[in-house]
Amino acid sequence: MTERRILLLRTTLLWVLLEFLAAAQVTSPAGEPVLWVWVRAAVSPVVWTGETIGSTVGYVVNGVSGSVNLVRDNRQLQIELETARALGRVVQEDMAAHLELSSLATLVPNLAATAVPARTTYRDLIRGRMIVLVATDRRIPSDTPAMASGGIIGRVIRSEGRRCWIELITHPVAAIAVQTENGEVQGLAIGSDSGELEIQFVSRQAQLLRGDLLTTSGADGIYPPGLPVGRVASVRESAGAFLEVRATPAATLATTRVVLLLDGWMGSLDQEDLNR
Amino acid sequence: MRLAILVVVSLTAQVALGWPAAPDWLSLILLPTVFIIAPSLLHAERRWPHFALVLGLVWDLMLEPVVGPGAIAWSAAAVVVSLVAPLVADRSTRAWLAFGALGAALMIIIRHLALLPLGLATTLTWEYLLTSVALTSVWCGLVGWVIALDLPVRWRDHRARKLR
Repeated sequence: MTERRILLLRTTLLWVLLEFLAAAQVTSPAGEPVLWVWVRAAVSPVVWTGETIGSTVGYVVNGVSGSVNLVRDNRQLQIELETARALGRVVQEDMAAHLELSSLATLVPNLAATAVPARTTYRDLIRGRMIVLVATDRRIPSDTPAMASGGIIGRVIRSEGRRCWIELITHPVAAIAVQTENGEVQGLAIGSDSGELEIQFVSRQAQLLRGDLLTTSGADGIYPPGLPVGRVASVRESAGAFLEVRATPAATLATTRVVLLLDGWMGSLDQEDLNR
Repeated sequence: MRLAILVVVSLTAQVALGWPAAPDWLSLILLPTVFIIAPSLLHAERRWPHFALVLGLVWDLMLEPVVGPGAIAWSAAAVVVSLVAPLVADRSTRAWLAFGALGAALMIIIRHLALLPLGLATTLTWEYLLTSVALTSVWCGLVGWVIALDLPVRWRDHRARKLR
């Protein structure tokens, strides 16, 4: 059986060789050997497959590189978009600050000439601190009053370069002499841990109502007179000699963007103001 | 050597059968068919399929336009006959007739198949196939009958009787 199989295999191989031998002798109608036509027919699918695979791989590589470029461009665009948004927010902030500054300038027309605008860079309402950045290289002395769009917010306690540290009026050790708009009731506004102002030394006969505006009296020699400080929030009688009065700051300390540092305010007041 | 001479003689005769003056049907007899069925029927050694290959190559050189298809056809016919012959116990003239027909049919069909991919094959008709198979079968049967007569033995017996 094995011999037969070997015989068949050998003869089959011989037949194939003989067929190829015959093909090498025959010329096709196109003028080339039939064997060459067979070889080309056998090789062309392989070549076609190779070319197809090559082109497919090329397409895939191009697609992948295109995707990578797309992702990179997309990331770059996202960065640019975020940058533009940040710039937009900065512009919005600047616009809002500009509006605040304009309202401040109308609020204190007499002081605007000598006032130094500054930008809020840091605030800590719990500790009663604020850091501002002034627009000029002018050195801001200590005890310079600071004012926001609502009213007085505090005083400068330290200055270094363009940065100024402000002690807010809500700081527990801050004190500011206040009075009502008509000047009949006077007192001393002290900061507290609650963020409100305690108005001390208000006599029991004082006509003070909730919502009354308290302004600076100028008696402390630090703040110029007539600037808003706060509004009366509560009035209570106490066992002591004075009323217990609490007030909320007139300026919105949490959202203040721009402040005016009233440097040299004393020189800008006219004689009438000083007399008053 | 004797076999080679016989092959050359048979192939020469095959060429002669196709002589233009001869009848058409003579060329349909495949004389070398006896060389591929005789070894199987006479229990010769097993190398004869290779001999059939050589026979086919000589056939190609003498009768075919290209070398190869004849060798394939003759050797294939020889291999098939060698595989079928052991299955048949009969070795009479009828067996020679049958195997002659089988060998001729195989040779014609396989030769046609081998020429087909080369673009050299002509139309194979049933008439041609059957006629050629029948004539070759008769030729093989004739050879088988002659072998079965065992003329040398009869001649020796005849001489021996006359000498007495």
